[in-house]
Amino acid sequence: MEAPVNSPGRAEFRAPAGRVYDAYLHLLDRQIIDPDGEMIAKVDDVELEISDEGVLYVTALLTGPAALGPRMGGPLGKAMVAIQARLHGTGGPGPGRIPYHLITDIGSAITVSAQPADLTIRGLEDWVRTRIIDAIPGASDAPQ
Amino acid sequence: MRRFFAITLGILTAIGGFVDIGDLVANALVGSRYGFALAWVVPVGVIGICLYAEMCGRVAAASGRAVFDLIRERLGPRWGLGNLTASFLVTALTLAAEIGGVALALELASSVNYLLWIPMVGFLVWLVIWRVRFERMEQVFGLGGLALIVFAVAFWQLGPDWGQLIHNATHPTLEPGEGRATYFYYAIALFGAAMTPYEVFFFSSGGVEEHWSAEDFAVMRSNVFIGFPLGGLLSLAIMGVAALVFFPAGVQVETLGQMALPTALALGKIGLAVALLGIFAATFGAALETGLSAGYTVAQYFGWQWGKFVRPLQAARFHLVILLSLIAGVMLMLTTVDPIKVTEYSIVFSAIALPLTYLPILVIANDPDYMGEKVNGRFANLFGTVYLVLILVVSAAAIPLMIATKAGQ
Amino acid sequence: MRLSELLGLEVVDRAGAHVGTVSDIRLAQDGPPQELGQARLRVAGLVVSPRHGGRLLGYDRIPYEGPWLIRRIVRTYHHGTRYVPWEWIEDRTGRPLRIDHPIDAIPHLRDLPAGPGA
Repeated sequence: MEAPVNSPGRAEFRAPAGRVYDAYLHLLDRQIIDPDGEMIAKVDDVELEISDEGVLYVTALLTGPAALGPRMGGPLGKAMVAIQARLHGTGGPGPGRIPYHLITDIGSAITVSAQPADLTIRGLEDWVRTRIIDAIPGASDAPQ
Repeated sequence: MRRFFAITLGILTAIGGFVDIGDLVANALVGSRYGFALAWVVPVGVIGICLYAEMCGRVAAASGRAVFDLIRERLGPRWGLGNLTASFLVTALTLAAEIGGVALALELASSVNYLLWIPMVGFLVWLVIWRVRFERMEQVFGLGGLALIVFAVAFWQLGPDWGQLIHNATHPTLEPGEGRATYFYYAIALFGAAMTPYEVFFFSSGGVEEHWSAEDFAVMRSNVFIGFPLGGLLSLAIMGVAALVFFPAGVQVETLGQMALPTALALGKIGLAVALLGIFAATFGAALETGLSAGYTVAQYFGWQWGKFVRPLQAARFHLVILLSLIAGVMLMLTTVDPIKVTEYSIVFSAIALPLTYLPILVIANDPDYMGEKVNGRFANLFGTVYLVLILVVSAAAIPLMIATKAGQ
Repeated sequence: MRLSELLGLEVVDRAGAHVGTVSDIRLAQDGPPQELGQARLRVAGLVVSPRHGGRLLGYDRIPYEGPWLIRRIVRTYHHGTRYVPWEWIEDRTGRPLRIDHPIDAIPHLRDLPAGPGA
């Protein structure tokens, strides 16, 4: 006899086979780091796609003002999206995208396997580095 | 032996680095106006900062992440941005105050007007942040700050009546004409000076800079539980000499020169010189810390690479934020606004911003996601909660009291 | 679509009664194994909170940690939080999100056997 509808024993509520995460708690706003521990970005949003069987999967991490802006909402959010559009590298005005398959660990930070080739992620950093910081003597020296 | 040396060095650095321009001004002001009637606030503040600094240090050592890094994760991007804005503005204001403090110390030493020193100080602070290794920076200015011990020596020399002193400290009474509202306003200011937000951001980010791990718990804890209270004693010494010299005369301290004067009275020119050295080292060190904290908070919210442990080229946005904050601080001080006034406002605004800083720390230090087994024990949670309630009360009372007393008139 | 588009959405039951707003999304890592890296993360269900907005600070999901006072405050604030399996959503593009069960069938989060383990 099937368990009553709201019984925790029902199939839908049994613990899934693999690990369980809560997206807002464990994914969103987490720091993304490379294998050496260098900081890449924060998870500003997450891309979801529907599979052929109708299941929704995580397919990429999204970063940058174009990802954070819509989450902030309001005039501030719109301003952030506009900033991304102006500052981006050769990529389109969309958000920085790190495909899911690059993730190697989900812990207190999210580790990805390599520096993503996506230029929009590095847009602001590269801009500041080349225009301003590079000009100052000693920028490439290790601290004394 | 080497370990003993490391621990001792850490403690000494913590003592010398504890006092900044906010502590200096707050303690001297309160001592001159109230004698020892507000002395009780200092231990309360010191216990609070010890409690939370240990939590922040533990977070850095256990998770490899700095506290502000985790604030956005816990509060979400919108509240996190509000927190960032408030914390950044308070830190930037404090940075301006520290720059002012360094310039005032140089003015006292050289008789060259402090305004001429301001741009030079800003540049030097930037240069040290740009070039000097983190540990070396901390040690040099932390040890230099130990010169402030001269205030304790001066206090001893001035021969206080210990019996009277203890009585006044434990039975605070108000002079006729002093209102209760002002008394509590200054209590809040003193508390805000002891528990400034940037200190915990800096402490945890510094822990990541120095790559703390589980092995560093002992050193970190000794720095906090021995170093900070001894640093608190220096604060009390500064209050004490002002209380002995200015309070009986009814003179309220208003300039840095007056704050340092008791050392000259007790120990002559040498005493004053040592005091100025200590003030210079303490405020310059604090300027470095607040400058870096301005960068830490912004970079950690957005997830940018930060830190002195990488070359400047690898943390371009972080260094840009620091540069812009320093420029803003210098420009603010060049408007000839009184540096002492700026300091007073920075500590009161720090008191208002305290809950934004400390509530997330308490939450984060309990999260096994970050801390593993090193989550808060019952003791830390109990006292942490007590202090959080106190912080909320202080923060809520700060603005009404500020308005009611016209910022402490 | 983006995860953030699901957060904050109003959720109603079969009869149209208000259940709450989406405060978190539960992901299960039981997708097909990948050649490199992690197994795929599947959207398993929605955590729905009766109060609008409000950051949960994670305390309702970590029942055994934290200062007693804060735990009590958060638990009271999020007393009626429920969990809706993804399959129960009729149409993920519908606004508000409609569940094809009555509200009484939707379990409270605290009654469920498994919590997240990162």
